[in-house]
Amino acid sequence: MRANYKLFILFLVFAGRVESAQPDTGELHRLQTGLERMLNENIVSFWYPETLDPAGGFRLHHDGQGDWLGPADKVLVVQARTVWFFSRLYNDGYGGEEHIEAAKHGFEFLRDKMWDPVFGGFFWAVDDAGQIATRPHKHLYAQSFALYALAEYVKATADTSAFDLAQDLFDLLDEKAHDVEYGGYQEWFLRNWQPGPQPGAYMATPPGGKLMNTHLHLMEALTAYYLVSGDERVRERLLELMFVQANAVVRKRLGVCTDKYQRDWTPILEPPHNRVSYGHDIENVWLLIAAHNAAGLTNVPQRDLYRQLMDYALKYGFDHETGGFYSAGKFDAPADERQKVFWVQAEGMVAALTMYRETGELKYWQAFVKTYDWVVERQADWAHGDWHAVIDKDGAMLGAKAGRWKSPYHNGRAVLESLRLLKKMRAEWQP
Amino acid sequence: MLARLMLCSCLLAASAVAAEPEVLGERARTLRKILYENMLPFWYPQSIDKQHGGYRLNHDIQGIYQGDSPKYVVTQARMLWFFSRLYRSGLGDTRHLEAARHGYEFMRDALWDSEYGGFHWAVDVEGKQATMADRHLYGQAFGLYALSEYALASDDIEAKKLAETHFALLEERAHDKQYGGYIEYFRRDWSHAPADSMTFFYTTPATKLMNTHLHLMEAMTSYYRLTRDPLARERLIELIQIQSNAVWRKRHGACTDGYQLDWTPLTGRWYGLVYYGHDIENVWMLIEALDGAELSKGPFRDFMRRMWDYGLEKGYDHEQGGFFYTGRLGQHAGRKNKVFWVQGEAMLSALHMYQLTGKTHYFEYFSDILRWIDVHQVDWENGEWFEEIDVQGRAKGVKAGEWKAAYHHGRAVMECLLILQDLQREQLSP
Repeated sequence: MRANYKLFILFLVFAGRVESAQPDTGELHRLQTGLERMLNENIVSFWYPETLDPAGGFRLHHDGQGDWLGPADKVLVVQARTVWFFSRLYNDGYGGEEHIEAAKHGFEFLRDKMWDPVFGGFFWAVDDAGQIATRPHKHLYAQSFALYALAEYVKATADTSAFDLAQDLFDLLDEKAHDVEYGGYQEWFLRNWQPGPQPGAYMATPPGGKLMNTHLHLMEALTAYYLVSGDERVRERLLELMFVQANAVVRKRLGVCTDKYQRDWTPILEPPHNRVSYGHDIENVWLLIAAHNAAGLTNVPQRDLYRQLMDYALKYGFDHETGGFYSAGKFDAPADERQKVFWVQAEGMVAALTMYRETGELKYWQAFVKTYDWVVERQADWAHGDWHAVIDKDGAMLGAKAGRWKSPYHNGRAVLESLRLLKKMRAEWQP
Repeated sequence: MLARLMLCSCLLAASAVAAEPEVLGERARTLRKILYENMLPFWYPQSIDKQHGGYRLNHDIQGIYQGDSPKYVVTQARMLWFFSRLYRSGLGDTRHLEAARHGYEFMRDALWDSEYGGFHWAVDVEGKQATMADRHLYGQAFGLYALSEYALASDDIEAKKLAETHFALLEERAHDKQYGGYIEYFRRDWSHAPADSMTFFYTTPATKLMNTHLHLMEAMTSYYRLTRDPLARERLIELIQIQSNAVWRKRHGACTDGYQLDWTPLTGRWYGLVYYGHDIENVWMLIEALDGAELSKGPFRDFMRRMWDYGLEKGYDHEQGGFFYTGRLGQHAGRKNKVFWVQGEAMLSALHMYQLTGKTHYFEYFSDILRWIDVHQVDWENGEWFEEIDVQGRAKGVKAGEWKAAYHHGRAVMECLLILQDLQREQLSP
């Protein structure tokens, strides 16, 4: 009896400790409200309807104040990302009919102006009017965003022409670019799908080689496309990309990813390639978790890897004072590029929250909250809308609001993903 | 380190001749001599227990039979696997299929538990009574591996059915749907053993071992080749992930053995050990598993190379050839005895790596390990390999017993011969 009593006390102490260490309903409410405000008043309000180009597609050419700078080439990466964003906004119940119309507007430009009717696949860039392919060659990085956008758009609209286009693109990539011998994809091709010229790759892919970054986004795209297609061939490619992202691109002794590879996945580590980009590593963590979930595989055997990548970024790449993730650094050394880039904060939020959900470890929750607070206080531009591209180490705000790399995809997704996870936590909440 | 560098420079000099036809032929001759003059005369026909069924495996260091002893699923299954593979590979003949059939019948009639399903860990010599009836997945893995290989060798529908029953049972009772991998230890009736009880591996029932999952991956590869069951492929993929990630201490580049159910690594004296043989064995089994599941090996090349690098740096005998037994994580080998199975697995792993990467230093390590085996590990006088050669060069152990059968090194010799045939064929083709 006495022993039981002691155990009971011990249980109370333990339970109390656990409870006080967990996020409480008040905090969950604060975060959800704050994120919804950011979505509506900072992000959507900036991109809609401002970026819809009456001539087709999206106009994405805005300076740091959010002022439009006039016509510019339309670049597949960001055209696709913006289609993706409006589709996802709608799919998550935060967008209305006007937003799915905006997605449709962007999809039609992809289909009619950016798809190459002669050789298949999408151009890297076309002119403002969509009449001329200004950068006609094919890089898998951009193709992956097109597939990602098509998949999310199909989910929103069940548009069969979009589904057919996604299927054509997947088949084409399988035929032209999938590397049967070494796994993953060959990345860089001429417009006609002959091997790309060197130098001159749009993404600095090494001659005949491969990038972690490209394969990260291929994994992301196939995750989304598998979920809408249920096609077993897609799952096979997805599994391979998961092995690439969980093994080939990881420098395991260090606990980091590196970016450049020979075709057979031999890492290229000569300077300047012996560096860590924290944003890519932690983005990889949550996209791997999402890929495993989509493919119906357990994440548990991979937790050791996820922890290793996250903990490295938290150790060397996290600003423990004001929150947020730095940009890059040397191996096994603190960050030496200490600016805060918008997309790194976005991926950091989702990665930290996903890891908290995966492991229950409080340090990940704290990293999420601190990054969120940094974004609300510093990265978000409440005066002109959207997020500052860069806050440099002295606090200066730099970079454009919209351009050939910047669109509502990273930060919009971060807010939507975080909301999805927080709402799950509130639904599962047991006081 | 110096010794390693010196060896490397010798190897570079020798690399031009590494895999020329006469070198391949020479290695194959040595392996054939070991298989046909050292191993087979020892195991066949004397290991066949004509009186009680199954195999008699109780021979001292000189190869002298020590009399009746219990029959263990691990080694009974390993012998069944050996004879089946010998026949199916074309390196043996119908006598060996008969020897396999003989072992299969004992597995089916005496070791298989018709009441609760699964294999007993051990039965008495006559196969009448279970002497150790608890279920350990390590033993079950060998059961499934042997049944699958026998069914492939014999086309025996009944053996295939038993393998399917066994797989379904493991799926229902032991597959860990929550954390991945398998729960390892059960009572005879597949109820969970008490948390404080001790398994046959001196672990708690809630421990997961790299070693067990290594052999589950091996078994699942064969079972999937036999059945093409998509569910088996899913389990194989999960085991590939476990063996290439969860059990690998990435900072060091080596595997450790013990894990909690959720794959949190166990630490401490017992679990801080690296078994070089398991790591090197893991490399080639992953190659086989990926081939079996028709998955690309490319994404795992870095992992495989790192595993080999660790073994070569910490656990390889750069003077005499061959791998030492164990060492603490991150340190050089502490136990430097040469164990038979470690040499067998390492020889095969080196040749697989050569075939996969075309890097000639792997062929040189293959040759170096084979040389050690031929000169030291093989007992040319009394047959079979010595279980162990200690640091003073003394032979120790037994020839056949509770753990020792013809499987590790018999497999290594057979599979190396088959790979050499492939390599020779590739050289002949224009």
